[in-house]
Formats: sequence, C-alpha cells, structure tokens
Amino acid sequence: MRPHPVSRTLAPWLLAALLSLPAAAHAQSAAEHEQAVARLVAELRTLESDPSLADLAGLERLKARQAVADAQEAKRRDRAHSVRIADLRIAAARAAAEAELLAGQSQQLDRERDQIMIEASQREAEQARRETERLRLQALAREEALQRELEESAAAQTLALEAAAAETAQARKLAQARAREAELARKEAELAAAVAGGDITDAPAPPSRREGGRTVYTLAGNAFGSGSASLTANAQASLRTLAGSLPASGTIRIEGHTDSQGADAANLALSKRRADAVRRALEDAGVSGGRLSATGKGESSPVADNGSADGRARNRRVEIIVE
Amino acid sequence: MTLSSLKIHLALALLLLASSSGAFAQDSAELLAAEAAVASAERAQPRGDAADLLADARAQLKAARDAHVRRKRQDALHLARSAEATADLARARAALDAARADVDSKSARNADLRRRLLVNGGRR
Repeated sequence: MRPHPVSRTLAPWLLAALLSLPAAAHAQSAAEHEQAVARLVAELRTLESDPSLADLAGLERLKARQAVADAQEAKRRDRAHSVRIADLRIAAARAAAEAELLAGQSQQLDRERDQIMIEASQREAEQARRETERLRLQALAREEALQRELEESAAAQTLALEAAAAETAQARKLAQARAREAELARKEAELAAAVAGGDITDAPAPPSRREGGRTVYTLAGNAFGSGSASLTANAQASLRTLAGSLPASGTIRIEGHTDSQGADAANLALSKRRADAVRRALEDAGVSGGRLSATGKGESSPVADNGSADGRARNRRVEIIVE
Repeated sequence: MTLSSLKIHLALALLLLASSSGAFAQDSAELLAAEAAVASAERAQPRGDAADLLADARAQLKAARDAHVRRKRQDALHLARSAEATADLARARAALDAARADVDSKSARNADLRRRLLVNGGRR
C-alpha cells in the first residue's frame, strides 16, 4: 500500500515536532528554574540588606547562602528539591534573625525594668526626704511658736514686775522726798529766822563762767529744798550779793533745770517755779524786773550724766545769764 | 574467560561495591543530621504553625528512613535533607514565637510598672 500523499508531506514535520518536544520541555523547565533561583537570590539579598537584622543568625544565613548556591548549581533532576530546600533555609534564617533581634529587645526591656525600679526607688527616697523635711519644719515651727509664747509670757511677767517695782520705788522716793522737804522746810525756817536775826548777813555770789560775751552764774541744786521751789537762806544771801554786783543795764535771763528723776511735766514745772523764785529774789534785791526773764527747761539741758547721784546734783541748777 | 578479563571484572565489582558503600554512608549521615534537627526542634516546643512544620519534618524523616531501607537512595537523600531543613525552620519559628511572647510580656510588665511606680507618684 502506498502512503497517502498528505501523510507523506506531513510526516517529516510531525517527526520533527515529536523530536523537538523534549527539548522544548527542557527549555521551559530551565527557564522556570532560573526564575525560581532569581527569586531566591532576591529574597536572600533582602534578608542580607535588612539593617535591623544585620549580623544576626550567622549560621542560618550561611546555610541559606549554601542552599541558594546549591540551587543555582543543581542538576535538572534535583532542581525542584534544591529550590524547596533553599526556600526553607531562607525562611529559617529570617526567623532565627528575627528571634535574635527580639531576644535583644527582651534584654533591653529587662534593663528598662531595672531602670524603672531604680527611678521609682529614687522617687520614693526623695518623697521620704521631703516628708522628713516637712515634718522637721513643722516641728521647728511649733517649737518656735511655743518659744515665742513663753517669751511673751515671760516678758509680760517681767513688765508687771518692773511696773510693780517702779511703783514701789516711786512711792518710796515720794515718801523720802516729803520727809526731806519737811526737814529742809524746818531748816529753812531756822535759817530764815537766823537771817532775820542777823545770823547770815553775807554770802558769795554764785559761781560764774564766761560763755561768749555772756556771764553765766549757776545756782546749784542745793539752793532749794528737794522737790521745792523755796530758796534756802544761803541761796537768798548769795543772790543778794549777786544783785549788788550786776551791771546796771542789760538783760538777765534766768533758766531753771532739773535732773531726769520723775515725770517730765513735773520737772518742767518745778524748774519754772525755781527760776521764778530766783527772779523774785533778784527783784527783792533791787534788780529791775524789766531786765529779768525766767524760764523752766526741765530736764532737757543736762550738763552731767543723770546716771549718777553727782551728775544729777549738777543737773539740778538755776542759771542766771547776764548779757 | 582469561585471567586479564577476570581481573577486570573483579576490579569493576570492587569499584561498584565501594561506590555503593560510600553512597550508603552519605545517606546515613544525612539521616542522622535530619534526626538531630528534628530532636532540636522538639526541644523548642513549637506551637501553631511551627508545630505543623515539625509534624511535616517528622513525616519526611520517616519517609526518608523508609526510602533508605528500600535502597531508594535519591529519595532518601532528598527526604532527609528536606526533613532537616523543615525541622530547622520549625525550631527557628518556635524561637521567634517564644521571643515575641517574651517581648510582649515584658513590654506589658514595664508599662504596668511605669504606671504604678512612676505615673501614679510611686505608690505601690
């Protein structure tokens, strides 16, 4: 039987197609493998270039690199297997690296925990210190308040005692002054009687000093009875002598002074009364009243320390200023 | 058969035997490596996906042993290597899961400590 003409025409083509089928399949398989290997290389490169995973899981990375290299070099029959192994190795390397990264974070969290505990302890200590300081200040304030109360109470007691003592002293002084006044009045009466009887006829003028263009005569405090404005007989005689020696013209100022004992107002009044008594004595001795003026200075112009008896005696005086 | 021909046949037989012995030793080494990897993964106590991977590795190891017994060398080699790689992945995933849980736990612990000790003024 002769072959059909069409069959005879197609036979070579069919034979060629049949012969080329394995070659085409082989070419397709090689291309797919190349794509798979390219994917593996890319995945490995991604893993290697991840900065957060750098230098982690060294052994697993090495195995992954080796597996990818094996896949690149694999024979045709081993290609699928080698690609699968490389996939597993890359996945294992990534997981191991991430696990190591997390282990590092875990250690960091432990350090953070320690830091929190330290900070909390420091805060607690600081709070305790502040509380202690607050309590200390509170106690100090209470102590100061108590001390102040005690001091105020003591001061009040002291003032009361001082007031009582001053009152007692004042009363004693007053009694003494009255007794002395009575004594001096008695002596004055005796002296007046003596003068009247011619016992005291002459006495020196009061001591004097020059101040600028003026002459100042000082009648000492003992010219009067204590607390009194009455001149003693000696003082009256002394003033009569002074009156006889005064110039015929010019003004004469008479200033009374006291010491600081007693109230200001009382001292001022006493000094004025004594100045008036001297003025009257001078008038009685013949000095024109128009030339005379009398003022009381009280304790305002001391010439000596009032702290001593001698000083107080010097401050009790009447000054006759002749200008 | 001449003497020379006998020598040649004997040499070929020895060569075949040595080659077969070397291949057997390589298969055994791969199986041992796979068994070690599986044991290591089991010690990591994997859960979830990692446990599934470990189950796969065990199955592949068993299949590799079977293939080795049946002297299907290529299959045994592939299965053993696959079991080893799968077990290594199971172990790495188990470690990753454990590390994640550890970090999550410590993060929560630190946040709680910070809130209790620092934010709330140190009252415990």
